[in-house]
Amino acid sequence: MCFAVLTSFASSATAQQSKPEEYQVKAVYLYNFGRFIDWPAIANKDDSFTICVLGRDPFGAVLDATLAGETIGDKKLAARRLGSTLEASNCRILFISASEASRMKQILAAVEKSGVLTVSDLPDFTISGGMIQFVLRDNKVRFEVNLAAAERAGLTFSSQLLKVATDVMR
Amino acid sequence: MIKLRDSLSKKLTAMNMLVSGGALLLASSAFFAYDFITFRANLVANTSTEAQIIGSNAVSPLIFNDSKSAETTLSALRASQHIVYAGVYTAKGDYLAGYRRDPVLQPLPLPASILVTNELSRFEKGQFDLARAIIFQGKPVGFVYIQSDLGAISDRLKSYAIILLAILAASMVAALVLSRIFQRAISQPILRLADTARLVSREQDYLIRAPATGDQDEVALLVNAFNEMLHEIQKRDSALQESERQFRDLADSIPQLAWMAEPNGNLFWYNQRWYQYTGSSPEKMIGWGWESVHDPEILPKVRTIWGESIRTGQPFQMIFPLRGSDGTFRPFLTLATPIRDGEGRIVRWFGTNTDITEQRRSEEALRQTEKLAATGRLAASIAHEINNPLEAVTNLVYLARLQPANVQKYLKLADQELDRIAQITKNTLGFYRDTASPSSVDISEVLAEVAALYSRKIHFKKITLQPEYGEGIEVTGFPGEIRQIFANLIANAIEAIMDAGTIRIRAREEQSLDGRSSPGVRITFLDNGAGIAPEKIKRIFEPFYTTKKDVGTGLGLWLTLGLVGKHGGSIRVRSSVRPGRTWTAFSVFLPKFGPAGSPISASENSKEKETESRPS
Repeated sequence: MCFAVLTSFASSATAQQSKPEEYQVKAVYLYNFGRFIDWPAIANKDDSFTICVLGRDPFGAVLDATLAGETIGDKKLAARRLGSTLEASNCRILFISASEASRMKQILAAVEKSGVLTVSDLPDFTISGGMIQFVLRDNKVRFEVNLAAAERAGLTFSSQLLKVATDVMR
Repeated sequence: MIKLRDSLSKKLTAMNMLVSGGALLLASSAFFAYDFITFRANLVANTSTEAQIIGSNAVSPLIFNDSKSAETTLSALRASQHIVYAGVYTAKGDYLAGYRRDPVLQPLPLPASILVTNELSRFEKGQFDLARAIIFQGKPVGFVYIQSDLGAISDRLKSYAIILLAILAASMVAALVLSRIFQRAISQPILRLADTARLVSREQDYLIRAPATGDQDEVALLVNAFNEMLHEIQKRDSALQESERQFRDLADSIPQLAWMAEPNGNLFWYNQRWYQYTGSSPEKMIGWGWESVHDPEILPKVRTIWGESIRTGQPFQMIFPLRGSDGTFRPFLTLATPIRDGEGRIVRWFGTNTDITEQRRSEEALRQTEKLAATGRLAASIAHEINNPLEAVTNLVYLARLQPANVQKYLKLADQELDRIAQITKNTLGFYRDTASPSSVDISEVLAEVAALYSRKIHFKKITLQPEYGEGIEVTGFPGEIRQIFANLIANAIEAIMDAGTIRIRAREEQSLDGRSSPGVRITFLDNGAGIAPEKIKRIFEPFYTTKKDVGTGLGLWLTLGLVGKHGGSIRVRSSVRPGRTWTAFSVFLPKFGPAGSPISASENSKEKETESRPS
């Protein structure tokens, strides 16, 4: 169901670039990153797989709609909006909104050892120690990976994921 | 000759080649078929594995919509020559990325059926199609579609064909060489045998033998059997030649002319006597050449009777003249018998011609002898008959001299006696004065004359002569000869009676009994004399056969038979020697209108055919 949405979007995304469709693709990617990454055992904090958004939410209802009814392994997917990094310990994936550009380094430092996958579309995010950064290439949503940051957090990236990344920093 | 040699060798060689070639072809076909099936199975397995690999490598490109990465993955298929096309499609069936062996080709659409079945594997139009869904973590994320051509198979086929041709060619050469070698063992002895057979049939020489092969095989057996057969043929041949020589010797040494004819009447062989007599040659005589030595006037009749024999298969018998080398004709009795095979079919005719000139001559001499004897008897008879009246005349002359008064009376009586003498003389002369052509003969008159001739003897032996016939019974014939027939038969009857007896003479007109139903007269002479024993009765018509050693010549009945035959008639005898009731009956049948055709030739035939003797 969500693939249908994804593919129909992907084929039309190149034609007309608009914010809501871009974030719909990013929402699907966010959830799919979870399928190519292994978290350390200690990170299994509760029964649900939580995707958190820090800062001003660019997804809106799209994220919740994408995650509804989906699972990774045997865990149900859930979306949460955070007010501060203190709440990020229960998150598997943390999307850092563009509104948090000024605080990016502090946020990254705060979650560095908590086994959370950090994702953002902020420029220089991976260079700054973020793990996955959305980029646009030929009007398509692609992403860069900072593998060293992921390894520091104890996360293992699948080679399949690295294969489709536009750039991998080691 | 060369041809046969070639054909046998060629057959052996061809057989070798066919066998080795056929076996090779069969084996290669089996290998190829196995390989073909295996190859297809391998192709399916390989393509399936490739699809599997492509599928698992295309998961993330599909999920993250990365056609470049997918293309990179697919480009690895360049190593698989057989893959024409491979494509990765989204779960909806949209094209994401593809690989084309030939870059000018357009991406292919995903076969629609895969959306339903999730799996597709088919051989079609010389290619193999395989499509399968890509499953990631239990969910389908897209499809991979691979098209393979079967070029590899046909490449393999081609290389197989080349190898096969090479092997076949090598095998043929090997077979050729081997068959040349083995031919010596098999075909050479047979060919030598064939040469011998040819030589034998060409030279007709059954002394030739096939050379032994020195082996112990069937060919050696054949050679032995052939030689034995030759030996047997040689034996039979010489036996046949010997038999043939004996037959020729026999055929050439008999006094008769002899010949053989085909069932259709063509004469194909004559003995040497024939050629000697006719002065002819085999070339002139073959077939119907014999007709040239026949009397042209009689030839049509000969042809008719010969044709009749050929048609019916009845033995041929005829007397006809044949012209000798000196141009004169001599009479021949000709007999021809059909020779039949085991099934009764006539295979040939064997005929002989017997010169009967001498027989005729001796028969004539016999006739003359009997005539002389008869003349003697006649003289005696005349002497007897005229003795009494002469004595009477002598007495009467004497009495007239003694009694001149009674001269007239004695002269009258002497006149009567002289009349009797004249009558006797006249009758006697009538016997031997014969006409040249047949005339009407009164049977009763002739019988009376004959009876008168023997009246003294009849009276002397106290025989009663009972004539049982009317007057005016006539036949056409020679009066003198008919008289002689009757005289002979009456004389025999008188001889048969020792002392006192009866001779009954019957004459009546009737139809002949030989089926021709011609009118005639039957005259029967029945006496109650001694009778003739059955063993004698068969021989009484033979010349020189007599029961009256001192008085008979043995020619009487033989002559009688001849005379009856000359008239176209027949004679029959029956007799009884039962004690107390002995009798003999001679019965002569004379045709009313005389002998048919030439009197001479008719007499020859009738003697054989119409004589009938029946002892009772």
